[in-house]
Amino acid sequence: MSEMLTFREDDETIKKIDELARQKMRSRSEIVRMAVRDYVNRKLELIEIQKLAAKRYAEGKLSIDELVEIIGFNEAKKVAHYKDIAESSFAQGMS
Amino acid sequence: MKAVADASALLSLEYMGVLDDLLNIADIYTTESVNEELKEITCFRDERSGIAKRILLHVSDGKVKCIDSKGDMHSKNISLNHCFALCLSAKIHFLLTEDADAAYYLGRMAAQKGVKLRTSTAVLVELIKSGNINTQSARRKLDELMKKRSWEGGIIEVLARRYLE
Repeated sequence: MSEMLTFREDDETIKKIDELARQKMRSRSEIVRMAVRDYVNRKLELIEIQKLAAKRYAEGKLSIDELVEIIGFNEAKKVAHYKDIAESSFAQGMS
Repeated sequence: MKAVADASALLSLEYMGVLDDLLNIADIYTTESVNEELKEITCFRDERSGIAKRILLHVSDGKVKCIDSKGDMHSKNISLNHCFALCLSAKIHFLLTEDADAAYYLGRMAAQKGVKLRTSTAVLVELIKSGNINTQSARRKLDELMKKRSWEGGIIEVLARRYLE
């Protein structure tokens, strides 16, 4: 079973999708489908690991270097950044 | 007190049942792109649909002020980018979001421009300060929110233990 999704994207991204579709000899829809599947699958796999690691990091039981080793540099930076924002929110509210 | 809120923040606040209370103590702004995002969410077949509908009522009656704001359309996170642009044009110093990914990409630029990123927890803190809710009630609301969150829930849980007990 499948369901139709529609979405808007800016001209520049559409051009990139079309360029990739041309090079890969695939349709625009197939390129978008592959991109969405790849993104969603990777995100869902990562979330489980990230949940545990983020909690350990917030508890101070993991260093940022250890966090980087577990979930990679970019995701670790996101976790660290979110922890900073969340901590400011708890400590300072909107002041 | 003024803040711009994106869809993730508005949904979290309404989910915790504190958006009404917030609107009594602060001026909350959002953008047309957030409004569109919320309209899209009303079509989902889950509880977010009803929550988005209630937020849209606040937008349509003007309690949440919706202003058309265009940011960088090439940004990875168009919606939060528009909210950031609104912060700059309206000189609003707080941007409420629960979107950790988008906040990460916006972080450095926001800091350079003096815009403070805050999660909806900041609202609970303000509601405690103003006497609208007590710490126990805030904690219960956060517990509910945590269950709905991805990895961010773990961080909120640890900080809630540190700050709300």
